[in-house]
Amino acid sequence: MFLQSLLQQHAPGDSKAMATEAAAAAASSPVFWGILIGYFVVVLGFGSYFARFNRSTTDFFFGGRRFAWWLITMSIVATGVGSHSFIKYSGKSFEHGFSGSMAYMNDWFFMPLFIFGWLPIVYYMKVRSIPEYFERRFNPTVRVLATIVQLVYMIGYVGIGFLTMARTLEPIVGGALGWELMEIIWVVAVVAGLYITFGGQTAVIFTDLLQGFILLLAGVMLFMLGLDWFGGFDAFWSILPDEFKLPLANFNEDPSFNFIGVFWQDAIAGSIAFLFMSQALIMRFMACRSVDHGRKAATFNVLFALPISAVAVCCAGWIGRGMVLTDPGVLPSDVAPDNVFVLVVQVLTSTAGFGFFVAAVTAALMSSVDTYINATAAIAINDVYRPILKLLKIERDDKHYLRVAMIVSALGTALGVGAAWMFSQFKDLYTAHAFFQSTISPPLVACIFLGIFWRRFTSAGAVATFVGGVGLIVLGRFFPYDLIEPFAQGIPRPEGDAQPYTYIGALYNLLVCFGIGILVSLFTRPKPEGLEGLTIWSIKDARRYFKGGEPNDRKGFKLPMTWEVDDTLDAGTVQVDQEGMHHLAANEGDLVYVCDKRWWLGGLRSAHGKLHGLHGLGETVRIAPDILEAAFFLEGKLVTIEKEF
Amino acid sequence: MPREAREQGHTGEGADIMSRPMPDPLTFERVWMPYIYLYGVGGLCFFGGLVLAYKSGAFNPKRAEHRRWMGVLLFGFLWYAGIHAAGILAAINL
Repeated sequence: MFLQSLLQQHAPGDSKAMATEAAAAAASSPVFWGILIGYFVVVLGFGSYFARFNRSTTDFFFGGRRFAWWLITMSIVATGVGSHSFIKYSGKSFEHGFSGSMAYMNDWFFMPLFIFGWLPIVYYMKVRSIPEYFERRFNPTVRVLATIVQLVYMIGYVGIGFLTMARTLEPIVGGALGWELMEIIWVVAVVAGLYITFGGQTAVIFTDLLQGFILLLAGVMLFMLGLDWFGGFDAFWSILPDEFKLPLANFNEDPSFNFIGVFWQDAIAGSIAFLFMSQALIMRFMACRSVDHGRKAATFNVLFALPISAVAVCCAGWIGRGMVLTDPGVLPSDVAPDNVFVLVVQVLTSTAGFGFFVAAVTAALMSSVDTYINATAAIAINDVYRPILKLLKIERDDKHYLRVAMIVSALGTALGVGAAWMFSQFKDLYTAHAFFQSTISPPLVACIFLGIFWRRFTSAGAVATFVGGVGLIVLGRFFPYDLIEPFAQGIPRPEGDAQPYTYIGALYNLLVCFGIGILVSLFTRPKPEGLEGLTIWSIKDARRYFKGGEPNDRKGFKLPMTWEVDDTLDAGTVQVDQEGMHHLAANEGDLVYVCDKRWWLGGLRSAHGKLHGLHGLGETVRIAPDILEAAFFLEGKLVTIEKEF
Repeated sequence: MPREAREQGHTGEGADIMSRPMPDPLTFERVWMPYIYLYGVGGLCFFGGLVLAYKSGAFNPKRAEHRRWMGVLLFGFLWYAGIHAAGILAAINL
C-alpha cells in the first residue's frame, strides 16, 4: 500500500524521486536505524578487538601469513563485490538481462597461470607489493613508476568508494539528519579509517568475513523474495523474453553493450588485472597460511562464490524487469537503471528488511574501501617510506614501521576523502574514474604478465610499456575511429556523441602495451642475472628461497599436541620429539605451521616456525618465545603442527 | 503485458525498456556465437596457460598435489562451460 501510494504520487515515472522518497520513508523507522547503527558498531568492535593481533608490519599488512582459505575466500568476495556493484549490476541486468552478470562469470581462463605461476612467485618470494616485484624483476626506475601509478589508482578507488557510499546513504541520512554529502563522507571515512588504522589486515579480513556473508545473504534473500513475489520460479521465468534470459550478450550488434567488448574488457583485461595486478588481492593471498590455501581460496572464490555473487548483485535487475512486464503499476518501464535496486528492495521488503539491505550495500562498500586503504598504506610504507629511509641510511625497528603504517592508514583515509570531494565535482564520476582506470591498468597488466612469463622481457621494455602505452591509450581515446576501430570486430559506431568502443577499447589498450613491451625488449639487453624465483621458469628457486634450503616434499601427517615455551630455543624455531619428526615426515630445518586446534578460528592463533633439534617430552611442541608472541596461543589449548614442505 | 507497459507512457529519466527491439526468432549466431568465441578464445588462453605451466616446470606432473590442481582447473573450465551452456539451453527452452 505504501509503495502504491508512493508510485501514484510520482506517476508517470520519476524514478529518482521515488527512490529518494522510499529511502527517506524507511529512514523514519527506528528499526531501520537500529539495524544500520548496529552494523557500524559491530564493525568498529571488530576493529578494536583485532587490533591486539598486530605486533608487526607483517601482521598489519598480511595478517601474519596465517589464515585458512575459507576466511580469505570470504574476504575476496567482500572486496570483489565492490562499492557500486549492487547499483551498477542491477541496472545493467535490468537493461540487458542475465548477460548483465557476464563480468562475474568469466574469470577462469587465467587460473592456470595464477595457480601455477603468479601465486607461488609472490608467496614464496615474499613479494610485499607489486612495485617491489618490479624492482626485483627489473630495476628501481620501474618500481618508482609502478608505485606512483598504484598509489594514485588506489587513492582514487578509496575516493570513489567513499563517494558511492555517501551517495547511497544521502537520501536516507540527508533527509533524517540533514547532513550534506561531504559530512556523510567524513562520517563514513572516520568509521572505515578507525578500524583499519588500528585493526590492520586482520581486522579487514574478519570484518570482510562478516560483510561477505551479509552481502551474499542479502542478495540471495532478495532473489528468493522476488521469486516469491512472482509466485515461484516458473512464473518468473515464463514472463521474461528469451533474449533477456540468455547468459551472454549479443555478439557485436549493440555498440553500447556487446559480448565481444565485454569479453576483452572483462574476461581478458579485467581478469588479468584482478588476479595479477591487484595489490589488495596479493595482500589477501599473502595472508594465507600456505600457497595451497591461497589456491583453494582463489579456486573456491571463482568457482562458487562468484556465481553466487552474480545472483546477489544482479537479481534486483532481473526481478525489476519481471515486475515491469507483470505489472507496470509497480515499476515504470522507464525507471532509471541506477534506481532499480532501491525500488525493487522497497517493493519486496518491510522497513526492517530495507534496513538490512542498506546495511548489506554498506557492507559491500565498506569492505572494498577498507581493503584499498590497507593496500595504500602497504605501498606507502614498503615502496616509499622504507626505500627513503634506506637511501638516507636510517635504520628503524619494525615497531616504528607499524606505528607509521597506522598513521599512513589514517592519512590514506583522509586522502580518500579528498579524492571523493574531487570526484563529487564531476558530473559523471564513474565515466571519469573508468577512463582513468582503463588508462593506467593496461601498462601495469602488460608489465606484470610479460615479467612473469617471458624471461626475455627487459627493464627498458617495462619503462616503454608504461610511458608509451599510456601515450597510445590516450591517443586511442582521441582518435577512436582511426586507432580502435580496426580491432572492433564488427561493432558498429554509436549514434550521437556517445564515447565509441567503450569496452572493445580494452583490446586496443592491451595490444599497444604488450606490443611496445615486446618490441622494445627485442632490441634491448635482458637482465643477465637475479631473476631466480621471479618468473614462472624458476618456481623451484622460489621454493628454495622461501624455505632457505632444499624443499622436503615427503607427505607427513598433521599432529595434535600440547605446547610449551622454551626460552633457550633460537628465535623462530620449534622442537618436537623423534616420533613427531617421523610422523611429520620432517627433517631438521623444515618449515612447520603450528596452529590452535580449533579450526573455526581460521588460523587467528597460529604461527610458522623452523624445526630445530629434538626433545624427549612426547606429544608436546616446544616453541621459541617469539613464536608465542606471533601465535597468540592460549594456555591449556591444544595445537596442531604440520610440515609446510 | 508488454504492450500495456508501453501504453503507460512513462517519461522518467531512464530509457523506456519496453521500446528496445528484441530479435525474434533468436538466430544461431545470436545464441551460440558468443559461447563459441568465449570458450574458443578463452580456451586458447586457458590451455595456453596450462602448456606454459607444464613447459616451464611450474606444473610438475610427478607431484600428486599438482595433478590434483590440474584436475580442479580442468573441472573449472568444464563447470563454467556447462553453466553457460545450460543457461543458453534454458533460455531457448530446449
